Amino acid sequence: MSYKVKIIGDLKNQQKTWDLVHFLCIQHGMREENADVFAIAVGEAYGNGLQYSPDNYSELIMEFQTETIVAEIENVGDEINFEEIEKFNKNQDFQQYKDGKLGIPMIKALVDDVLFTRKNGKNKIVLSKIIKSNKNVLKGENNEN
Amino acid sequence: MKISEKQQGEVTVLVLSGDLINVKMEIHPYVKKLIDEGKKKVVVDLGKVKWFGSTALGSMMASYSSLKAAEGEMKIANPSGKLQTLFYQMKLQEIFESFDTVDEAVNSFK
Repeated sequence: MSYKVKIIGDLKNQQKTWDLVHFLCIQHGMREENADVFAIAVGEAYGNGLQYSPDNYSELIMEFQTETIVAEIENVGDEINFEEIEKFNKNQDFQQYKDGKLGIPMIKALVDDVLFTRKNGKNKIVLSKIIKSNKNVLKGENNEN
Repeated sequence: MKISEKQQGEVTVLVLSGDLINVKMEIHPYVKKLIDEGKKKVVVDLGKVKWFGSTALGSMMASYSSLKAAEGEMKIANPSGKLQTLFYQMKLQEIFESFDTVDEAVNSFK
């Protein structure tokens, strides 16, 4: 059994979206530290969806499955070479991020699975996090960097 | 987002506060100005920060890098549980030396 929640936020109140995603993940049984990083990843992706769509509109659909929480974000926007952007690695030159561009590398480092597709001028990103992960985030066990 | 500055001996403490989600982050230009003034021991107090977006984090990482290149050092004080988790997940805890209080961070330079 699963259920879905649709969230429509705006650029001015992004912290509320991050708080709401975190709250829903905790209510669905996700560990605090996993909910923290998933809320950051989803909030970041949704913020980008809002910022880069022509009318600053994007929908976030959270699907709560038995073992996994999935976040789907779709918006009209320019094409992104998502696959070519590397997952964050602490050995990279940090100066490249002084004015941004850390969003996608960070998202890739924080979730268990990420899928990006583009169709009819729309970008869609689907982020997944396992609810009952035995990996200890505070030991960096989800990150293979 | 606000940055306030205070001096504790040779160490400059930058207190960040306000919304750090998807905002233009001024910490890197601020730290570069400190380097130009010869202030190369910096503590960033994150006690008033709840969430941290990629723009803010990227600017802080560039600040760390600029200080290191200038033979200076940047340390973190008061990170929330959420920020600590973010740092661990991105393995940044190996880069950013973190302390529970500003005084501990300042004293670690001695």
